[in-house]
Amino acid sequence: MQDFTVLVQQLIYGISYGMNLAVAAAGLALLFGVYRVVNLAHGQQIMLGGYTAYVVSTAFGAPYFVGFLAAMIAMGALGVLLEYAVFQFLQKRPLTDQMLASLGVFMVLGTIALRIWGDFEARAVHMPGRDSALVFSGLRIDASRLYTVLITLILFGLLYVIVYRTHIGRMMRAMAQSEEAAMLMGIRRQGIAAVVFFLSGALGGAAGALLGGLFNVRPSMGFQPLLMALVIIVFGGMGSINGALVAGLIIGVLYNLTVFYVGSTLGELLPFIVLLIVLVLRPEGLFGLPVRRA
Amino acid sequence: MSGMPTIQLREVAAWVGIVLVLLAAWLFVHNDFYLRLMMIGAAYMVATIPFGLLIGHMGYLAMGQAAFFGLGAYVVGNLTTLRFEENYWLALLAVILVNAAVAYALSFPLFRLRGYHFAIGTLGVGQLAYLTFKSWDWFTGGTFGVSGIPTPAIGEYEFGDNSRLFLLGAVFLLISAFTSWWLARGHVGLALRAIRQDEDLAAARGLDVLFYKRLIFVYAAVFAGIAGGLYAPMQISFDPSTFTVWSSFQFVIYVIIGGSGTLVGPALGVIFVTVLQQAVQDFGKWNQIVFGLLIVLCVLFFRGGLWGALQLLWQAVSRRPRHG
Repeated sequence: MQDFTVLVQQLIYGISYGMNLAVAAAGLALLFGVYRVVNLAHGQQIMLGGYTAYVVSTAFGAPYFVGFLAAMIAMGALGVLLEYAVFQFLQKRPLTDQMLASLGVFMVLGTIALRIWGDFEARAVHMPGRDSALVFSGLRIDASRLYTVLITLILFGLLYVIVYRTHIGRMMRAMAQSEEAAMLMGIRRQGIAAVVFFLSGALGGAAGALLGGLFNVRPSMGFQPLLMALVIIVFGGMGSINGALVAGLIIGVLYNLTVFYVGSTLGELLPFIVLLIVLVLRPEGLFGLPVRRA
Repeated sequence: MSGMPTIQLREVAAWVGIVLVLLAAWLFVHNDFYLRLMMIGAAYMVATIPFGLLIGHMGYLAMGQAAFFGLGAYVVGNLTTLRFEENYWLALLAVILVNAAVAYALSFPLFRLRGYHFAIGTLGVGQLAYLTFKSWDWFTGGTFGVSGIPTPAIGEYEFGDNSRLFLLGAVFLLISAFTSWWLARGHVGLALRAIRQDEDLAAARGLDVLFYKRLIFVYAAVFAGIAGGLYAPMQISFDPSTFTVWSSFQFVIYVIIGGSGTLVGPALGVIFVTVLQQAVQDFGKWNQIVFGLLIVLCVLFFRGGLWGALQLLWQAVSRRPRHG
């Protein structure tokens, strides 16, 4: 039964990685759904979230959980700042303009991190369970992987409650359906924008703190998750949080299994092959709204 | 649809001026370091000016152009050193054919997309290409890269040093700029503008939208490939790290900072970024901040970019008193 154990182990690793990506992607999806922005700077919010967790929990010696919360709050605040400084001026512009501006922000934030924390030196965030493993009948699973799954499930639960069970969530969904009608109903655009950017940034920060805990923190760590998150939101359907979760799980598991059983080259290529196939066959993704085709 | 507008004296003068400037640069610059910057800059301009038609005039933000740039460099690398020992010019011809074929094939899936979907799709292509370059040892030499591209030569005249390579780059720069100008001023230019403003309306009015989109995409890819083919012999060696998604962003940055939707803008962007990169090198790693901020500022306040700024300045200086 050795093979089967290995398969289960790889599945669990794939699920934890996929959940992790799904958190990052959910931030992007929420922002796109309500605010119609493809925010490339999200990648750097992931990276800076990792560093925030590192600074708070490793350098200051606070528990990991405190660092995790600090990462969420700090990156949420950064999101609000970005909305205030950049994105609010791009409301009436084509979406590609907002992508370009966010690319500029990506470069700025990346340089700042590079300047503060140095080139490629990886730093470890002390996540509980990183060195301990659970063993069931020959199956060894890192405890940190299970924590990741648990934390992401809680985050998605909270997100659902906020989006579907609160007044603010209802306003956000109204905004997503029809901005004009929502504003006629007395919803203030600026207020909702701030909330959405905060939530999106917080999710990015959470993803960064988790990635930093599982692997290490480095200035270039935001780029790969950003690309994966873009694949996931297209696959899941732009703006759909359910889509982000499902697509994240599929991509994470596929990626892990391919890397393990076939090879890392194909594993790295796979998400982008999936991206192209989805874009061609079903541009609206799994749960997205119909896309006007060119 | 009417034919080409008549050529104005102004335009002829501008072209003569450009040729003279390039010639003067070739004749009077002897500093090897400057020549090196100039020749690499020329190679990038060969790719950037047609790319400007795609993202500026037509408004299709392509974020994977380094794929075509790299493809060009690797086709030349394969045909001249890695697999075969063919003539450089033959290899450059092969680049044109290969890039045109690949771009044409890719245009089928990619032009089912528009707007940010197109941007993400091309980003995916760019990343796929980079990963392929990195892992397909047979074609690219993997991370070790390709080295020892033979110097191009016409008969006895070898493009052996930086000065002559700059000349080679300048010739192709003129071809690239002239064809782009020719395309932009005629009905193709009008079609591109129509597509950028309202693609559905243009299609409804009977414009074969897909034909023009495909034309410009293939055209930009071919010149990106030629630029890669020119870049290859300018380097002692090159490896996949030159063709990452970041390199693709670099092309976008040239166009946006220089001034999108114009022909001069992208070329100006290459010059400006190259010069600024040298100037801010003392700040070390801060230089990316400068470019990041410039992009944000250009997108927010100054869509005309540097060329737009210069035009505004010129208007302010040369403003004559109005009559009536």
